Amino acid sequence: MSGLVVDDVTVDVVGRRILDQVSLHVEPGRMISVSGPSGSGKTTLLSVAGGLIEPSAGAAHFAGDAVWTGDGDPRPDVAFILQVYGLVPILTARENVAVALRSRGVAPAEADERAVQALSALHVDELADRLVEELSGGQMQRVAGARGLVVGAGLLLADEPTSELDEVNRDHVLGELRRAAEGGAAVVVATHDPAVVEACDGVVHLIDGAVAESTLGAAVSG
Amino acid sequence: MSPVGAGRTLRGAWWRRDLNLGLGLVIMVATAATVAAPTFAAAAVSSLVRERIATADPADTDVSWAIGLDDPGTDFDAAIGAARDLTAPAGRAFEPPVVGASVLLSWPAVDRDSPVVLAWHEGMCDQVVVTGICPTQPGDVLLPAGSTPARSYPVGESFVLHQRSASATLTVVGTWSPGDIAGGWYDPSRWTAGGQVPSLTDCGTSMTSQTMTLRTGPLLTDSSTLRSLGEVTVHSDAALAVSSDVDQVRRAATQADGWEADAAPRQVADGVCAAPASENDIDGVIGPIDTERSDLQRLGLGAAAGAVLVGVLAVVLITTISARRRRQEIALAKLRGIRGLRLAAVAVSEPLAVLLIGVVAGMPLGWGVGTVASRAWLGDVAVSLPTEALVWPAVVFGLAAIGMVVGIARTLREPVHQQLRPARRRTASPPVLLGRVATFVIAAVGVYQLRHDPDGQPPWWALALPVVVGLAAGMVAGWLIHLVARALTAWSRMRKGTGMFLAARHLVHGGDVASFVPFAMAATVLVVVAGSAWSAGTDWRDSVALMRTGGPVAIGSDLETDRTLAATHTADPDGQWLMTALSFPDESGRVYRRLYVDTERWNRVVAPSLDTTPSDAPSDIDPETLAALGRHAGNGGADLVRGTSVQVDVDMDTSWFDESNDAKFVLEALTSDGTAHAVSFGVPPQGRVSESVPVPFCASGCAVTDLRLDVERDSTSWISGRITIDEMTLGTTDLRGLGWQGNDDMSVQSHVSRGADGSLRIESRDGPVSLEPPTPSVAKLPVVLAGGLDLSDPTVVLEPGAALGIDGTTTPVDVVGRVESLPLIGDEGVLGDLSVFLDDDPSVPPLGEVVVIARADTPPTVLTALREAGVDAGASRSIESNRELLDQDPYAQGLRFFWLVAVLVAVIAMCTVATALVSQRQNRADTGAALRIVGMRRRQLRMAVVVEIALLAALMAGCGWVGAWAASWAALPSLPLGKPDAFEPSPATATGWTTGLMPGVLAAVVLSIVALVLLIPVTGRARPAARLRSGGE
Repeated sequence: MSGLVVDDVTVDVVGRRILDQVSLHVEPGRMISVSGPSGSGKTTLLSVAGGLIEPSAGAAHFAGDAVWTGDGDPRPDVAFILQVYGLVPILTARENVAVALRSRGVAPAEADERAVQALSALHVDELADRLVEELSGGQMQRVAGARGLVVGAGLLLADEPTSELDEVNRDHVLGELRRAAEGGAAVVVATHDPAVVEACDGVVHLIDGAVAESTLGAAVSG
Repeated sequence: MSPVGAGRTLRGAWWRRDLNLGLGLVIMVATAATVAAPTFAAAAVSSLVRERIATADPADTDVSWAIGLDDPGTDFDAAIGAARDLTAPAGRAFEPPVVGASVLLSWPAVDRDSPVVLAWHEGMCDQVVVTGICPTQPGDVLLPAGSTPARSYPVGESFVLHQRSASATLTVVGTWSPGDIAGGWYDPSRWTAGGQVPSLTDCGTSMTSQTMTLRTGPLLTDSSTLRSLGEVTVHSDAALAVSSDVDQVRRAATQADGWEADAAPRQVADGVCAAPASENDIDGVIGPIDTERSDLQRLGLGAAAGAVLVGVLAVVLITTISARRRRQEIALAKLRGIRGLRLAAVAVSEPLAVLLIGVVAGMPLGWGVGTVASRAWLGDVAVSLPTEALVWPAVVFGLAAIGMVVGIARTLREPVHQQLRPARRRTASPPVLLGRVATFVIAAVGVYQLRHDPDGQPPWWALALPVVVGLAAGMVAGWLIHLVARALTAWSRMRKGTGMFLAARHLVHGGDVASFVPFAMAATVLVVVAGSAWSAGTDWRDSVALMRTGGPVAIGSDLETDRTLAATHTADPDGQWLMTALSFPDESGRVYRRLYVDTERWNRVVAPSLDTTPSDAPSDIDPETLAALGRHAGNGGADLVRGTSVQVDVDMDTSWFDESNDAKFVLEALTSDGTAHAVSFGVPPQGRVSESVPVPFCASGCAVTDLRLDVERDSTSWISGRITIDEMTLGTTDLRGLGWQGNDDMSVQSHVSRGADGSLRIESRDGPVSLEPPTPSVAKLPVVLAGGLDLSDPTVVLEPGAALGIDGTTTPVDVVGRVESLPLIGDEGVLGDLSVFLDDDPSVPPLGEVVVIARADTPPTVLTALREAGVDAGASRSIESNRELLDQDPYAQGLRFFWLVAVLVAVIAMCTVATALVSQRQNRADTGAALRIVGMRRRQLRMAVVVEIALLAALMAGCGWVGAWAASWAALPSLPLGKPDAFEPSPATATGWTTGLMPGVLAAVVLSIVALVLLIPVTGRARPAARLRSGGE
């Protein structure tokens, strides 16, 4: 089965159930949202979907292979846009974007060029040579978005990618996410923002770690 | 502080335990250094005082009284009682007095000219080894073991001693010999000294004294024997109590001075007069201690100041890191309305509590370190806590508190909106900038001060220079790291691979990533300086120990020189183990120091030990020079020349009877063993000849005695014409200048002259050509000169061209070599062969010190044979025993302690480095997680850390090396490494270019290992999933 398949995943942390038998199927080319109140398990679901944590039960696969590789590092065909940006403070905006490409073996010059293009797409290319500490929260979020988008991953997982953005920049980011989906990526966006939910192809609503509502036919809560 | 505040402080201290542990350790060790330094210095001074008193000549430290009794039996008991009471007021400063009595008597049967001493002392039989019984009856007597009388008078034999008005009949009950004198106050010199014997008549006359030489040691008898004799002197002798309190000793000296000042005899009992019989020199004994104490304290204080400086700067660094970590906590406090002193109290309560705990814990630690070091290096010495050991911790706390305020102040002043954002890189604050500039200025001034100090006594703070230089070197290293990393940042931007890419950026933008470098540098530099100082001091003590010993083992000989020489040849006929040496080590000025040795044994007995010393002192002597020393002047006393060939250039303008016969010049010479040698070269009647003629026998010296022109097969050798010798050089000596003159064979019309150009011109009229140099009237003895002694300088020597012989008279000498320094006499003096000089002065008894130098592995059978030949092999000293004495001197102790403080500074630095690295772990873990989440692999992150640390290490090693070299170059000449006696070499303080290289590299390697151990694991510790929730900094 192609795309992202989260199959009956349960995550327990220190005796507390974070996700409870959640299933999800996202075909390539689709952009779906995961919504729910704080603590409902959105970020944990993205972590499981991206192979960052191993579920207590169930499994997640992308393109037919398990996303959990055993060490918590994501597969190269998986990219994240983090709610807390996850930018590296010792690098400039450009380098933060380029390093994602360099780590995937892209030549430095090409990585640099594509990084600038990605920053330009989100209108932060003029900040390319600034260190992270010199950026505002919204600027950092767009740089983080550019970094997630630039690698052209098959599975793109975005955690609140527009939480600190104004409407215009939010639309830029959503547009780029849609472009990624149209490029064949399976895109999952965790969000509180109804506008973001509205922009997606479907939504899974989590409450207390379980799927309370889903507009996806394949989403099943146990 | 309220309970809530205390709870908050404790929680904060626990929450930031990584930093607080480092902070506490740093301040604890710095405090310990300041407590240990004065503790050890005080203990060392105490040890010095004890050692000086214990080893001093009793004549210098005892207080002695003499009571003269003219008539037999007169008030003997009263005199004994009075003598016992005389020194009682001295209290604890002196040992209880020991009372004795002695009388001079003649013993015609043994020696008509010299009297003997008949003596009694309290407890004498407990302090000497008695063979027989202790005298208890009138007339009982013990004879000195081994003396002539003891051999003549066996136990039970009686003899009579006489004085003017009485006589005593004595019966031998045994013999006595000195026992182990190490454990008590008893010293044989009290028994054998003739010295000043006060003669007291009555209290109305001043004390008079007479000096007499006693040939025979005292005969020991019971006190009752002395009652029947007149002219008895009763002695009261109180030894200075061995004390570690220099002030108490000074009081005792004052007391003794008072007694001696009142030198007139005084009535101590009815009819009993007493007078001080000694002139103490207690001040002279302990006088040098003031200088040594000052040196010790200076060294300890300087080193401890370095420890404090490093500790306080470490406090600034750690509290800065801690305050930055508390930015949000401080911001929240501000938002809650806390301002001013309350806010400051919130900020400082935690580090202040840690500082206080550290200082309190450091005091007993310092006391313990000082005590353990004192016991380990000084032996069983009383260790007390000096006042400054209590003052210094307060100073450390005060300075650390100031450092803490400097570390925290900037964070406190930061606006709230910035405190709530991730920390930004900062430029240096004005106080930090000022501190950096001050570090460079102090380093420069300190180097200047140490290198240009006119009296070699730089102030104590200048001895903290190595630390300052290390800090300056560390700052330079930091700047270089930044510069290099910036260059590598640009370079790596378009290069494949992520190791250098990340490492360079981490070094440029990582904030405090290299903040620990100056501390590592300071410790490295101080350890190098301390190590170099210790090494220089050790090398110097090795050399001086050998110089003072003269060889591996020196066995004192009471025999005359020639008998000692004969004894060594008897005991060691092959010359493998023993060598006799006669030295005059205490001479100075125009009567310089001299050493005469059995040179043919030098290479086997002394030379091997010279190879074991790291320095060039004392110098070895090459075999050819030794050979030249050993050959007596068989050359007739002519000047010796040395070389292996003669260069000649002769212009012949002559004729002889039958010119078909060949002619040749013949040069004759005598080597110093008296052997005649001749070389020749052919010449034509007309023309020029240039030749190089080998003269191998002149390699170690020869005297040219004859130059002649022989015409072969022509017995008459009649030659007419002119011969011009334009060159005739043997080695470096121009033989044309020997003062050639024609000998008796030459025609009266012939003559020899020197041309203006130096050529030697011979005009011959029908006669033989035969020249000789002037014959010296006196034979010259070969000598080697040590140091800069110039025997041709009339202001230095009594007779230019001559040296003092064994008997102190001058004798012409030929200087066959020159060395830097010699065993036993040091770096100025004359060395001659003992046999050669004894031949010159056969009948003169030496006044110098005769010793037998023995190899360390001399077989016991040889030593036994030596003893049987008359040299007591028991009275010996070795390099090791002299080395042990030198190891106990205050300078060696000071260097040990300097080294110890350097180690403590290294501990402070390691704590600082570890704390700084540990404080980076969280940020590095976050960075690692962020990079992993975008696809970076862990091995790539590990490689980046390795590259970063390698860059750091390389630059640190380089800067550490330069800093260590500079500090050693500046500081070593000013450190009290050792105090040479006159004519001994000073400690070598030259600093080679390799100084600090290996330690710099080693420090960098150690630091790399620590950094790798602390940082590599964190690259994989924070899992990428954590980055989804935590922003980190």
